[in-house]
Amino acid sequence: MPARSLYAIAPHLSRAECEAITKKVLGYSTADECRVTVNSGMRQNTRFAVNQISTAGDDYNAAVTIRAVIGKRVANVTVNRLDDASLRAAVQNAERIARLAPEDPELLPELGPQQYQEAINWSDATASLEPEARADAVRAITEPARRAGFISTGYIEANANSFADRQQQGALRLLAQHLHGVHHHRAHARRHRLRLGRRVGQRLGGASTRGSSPSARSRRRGGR
Amino acid sequence: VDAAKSAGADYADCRISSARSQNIGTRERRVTNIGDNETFGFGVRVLVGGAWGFAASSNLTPDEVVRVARQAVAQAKANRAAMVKPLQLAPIHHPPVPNGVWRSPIRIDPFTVAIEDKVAYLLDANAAAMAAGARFVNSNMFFLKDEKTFASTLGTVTQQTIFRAQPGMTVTMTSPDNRDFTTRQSTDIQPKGLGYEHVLDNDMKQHAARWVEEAKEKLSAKPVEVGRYDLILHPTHLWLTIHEAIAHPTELDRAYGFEANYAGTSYLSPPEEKLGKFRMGPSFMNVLADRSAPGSLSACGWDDEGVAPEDFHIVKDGMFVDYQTTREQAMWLDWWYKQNGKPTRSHGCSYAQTWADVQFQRMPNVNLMPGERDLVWEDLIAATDNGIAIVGDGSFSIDQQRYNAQFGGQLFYEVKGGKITGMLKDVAYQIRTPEFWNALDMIGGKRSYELGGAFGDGKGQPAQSNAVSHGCPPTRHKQINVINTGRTA
Repeated sequence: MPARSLYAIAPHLSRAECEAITKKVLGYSTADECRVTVNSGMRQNTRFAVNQISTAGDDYNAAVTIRAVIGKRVANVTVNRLDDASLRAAVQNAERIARLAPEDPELLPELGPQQYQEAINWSDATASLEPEARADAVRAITEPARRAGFISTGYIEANANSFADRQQQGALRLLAQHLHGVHHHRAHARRHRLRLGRRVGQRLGGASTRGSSPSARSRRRGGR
Repeated sequence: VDAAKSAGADYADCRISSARSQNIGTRERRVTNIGDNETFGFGVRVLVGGAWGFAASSNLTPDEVVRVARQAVAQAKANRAAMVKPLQLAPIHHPPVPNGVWRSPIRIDPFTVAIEDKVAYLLDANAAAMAAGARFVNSNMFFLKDEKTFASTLGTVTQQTIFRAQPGMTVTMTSPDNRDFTTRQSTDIQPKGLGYEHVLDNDMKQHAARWVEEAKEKLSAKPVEVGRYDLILHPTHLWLTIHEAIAHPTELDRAYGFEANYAGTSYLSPPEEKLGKFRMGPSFMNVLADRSAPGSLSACGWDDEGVAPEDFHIVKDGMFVDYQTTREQAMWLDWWYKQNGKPTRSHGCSYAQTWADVQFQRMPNVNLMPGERDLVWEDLIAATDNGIAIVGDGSFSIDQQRYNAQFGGQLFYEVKGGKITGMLKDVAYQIRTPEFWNALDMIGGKRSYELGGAFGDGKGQPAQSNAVSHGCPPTRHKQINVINTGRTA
């Protein structure tokens, strides 16, 4: 990723960068089918509770998922090291795993070439939601709440990422290679999810907004 | 860390992590998924003027490291503007560790075992279940290897390699008319902080036929009569009740309202009115937290802010005496520790799920300690005249303060006159947490102590998952309300 200023719009891989990565990965592939997904971008968040900011974070990640299909055998590998050696190793790993996997009789072939419209869900304001702007938004909630004798708690998150997806099919993969769609600039913000509870000592009268047990949603690999 | 310090951080720490995970899923005679994931990156946390900042990146280059460190400092400065009270960090009870190394005590690195062998293991186990009459069977394995390096401005540098392993199976039986079904999950094989030896030591193929037979028996079992019963709870079941009804409400951030927006608060609040004053259970009830038990999911050498975790009592002789803390949170209880002549210091409960997530207070292993008498499961059953014995954890529901709850299970046995007289189905028990623990009247001894646990203990925004074990012996609880979950209007 090129160097950028501290407060530049949140980075993500460009169409050209995604095309270069997907082309490179498909070039490494010897599988019957290979699908490459590139997901990159920033997650920016500020959390507040008891009328003050508790945690905040800005993180950047770029990950490549390779889905290799050999006959009716399939495997997925995800890596976020994008140097040539790591990508080549990931492709080889996906194909090695796919060869070891038993056949899946329910496996469906790729859809083939599709037409995608350009995504229009980008917002510069969301992508550049700096820590100061998030802190200001928090203060706009917490200060009136405190003055009114309430306790406020909430969370702001902005995501700005690009998502690219590309596949090849069959022995003619280099010729048959086609762009499955490079969906740029997906961004959304969840702002000001706010919960107010009247102050009773240090207790909150309000219930949590997301259910009592985020851990209850799944069993074996899921939450508790 | 140096870049953050140069940019104005009063304190800074950095975690570099390379984590690899692998999951394999099968169903009957086929593989349903094989996934292999690696994620690598670093996160920088800073303290500036009493406010936190955190930034992270997967791009570990000299320029990006400096940018991220400065970003964290800039963020802390912005957060300071919305600060009510500057936070302070409790001192660490040990000198800086300049070259710390810790590794999970494994025998076989799961990533050195061929996928082919893992798939064969699962399909063999499925075949055993199908041969025993299972209508459907799913089985899976999940492995994690997390290599993380931590450094702080205090001079600590640690390198840790953490392994986790979870094999699992679910068999499903249906009634002949397909109007009813039941499942049996492999809850007698719990996830552990171990390597592939955990899979080999718990051969699912050997257990599969029994799980099928138990599912068959449950399908045709007698529906439970609603009422109050003495409950005898097996460690494979009880660990979850401990997790939900003791471990969660004793997280200090919940008690002070810092999780009100997501995970919830706690009935053990405010701390000033609960610590040393609230009776959790009988005098023989002791709850000890640790991150040291070999093979446990939370075990580590140092937490994610460089503190060597210590064992500490949450419940001592039945009284509630402490919360789970980090360096920041220990200062919130300074008054309590001073009052009791104890040093104000973190219990070592800081954890982040990946390099991209900020570390915060997460649960250590929270364990119900065995009693002094050498009692085992069979002793508790023999001492019970009219009860229900529950094995394995199942579905549950609990409120956000962890006060009112309902728990199911895997297997339910009717106990009459000190003997198991048959299997029951559609059992769930309802509790108010303090009453439930104060109804505890028998507890197993050391010999009957087992570790249960789970991946995916959820908390925080953005949501993070923690992995945690809970050790316990079997227990008996007097006169608990039991409902029938199969009844229809």
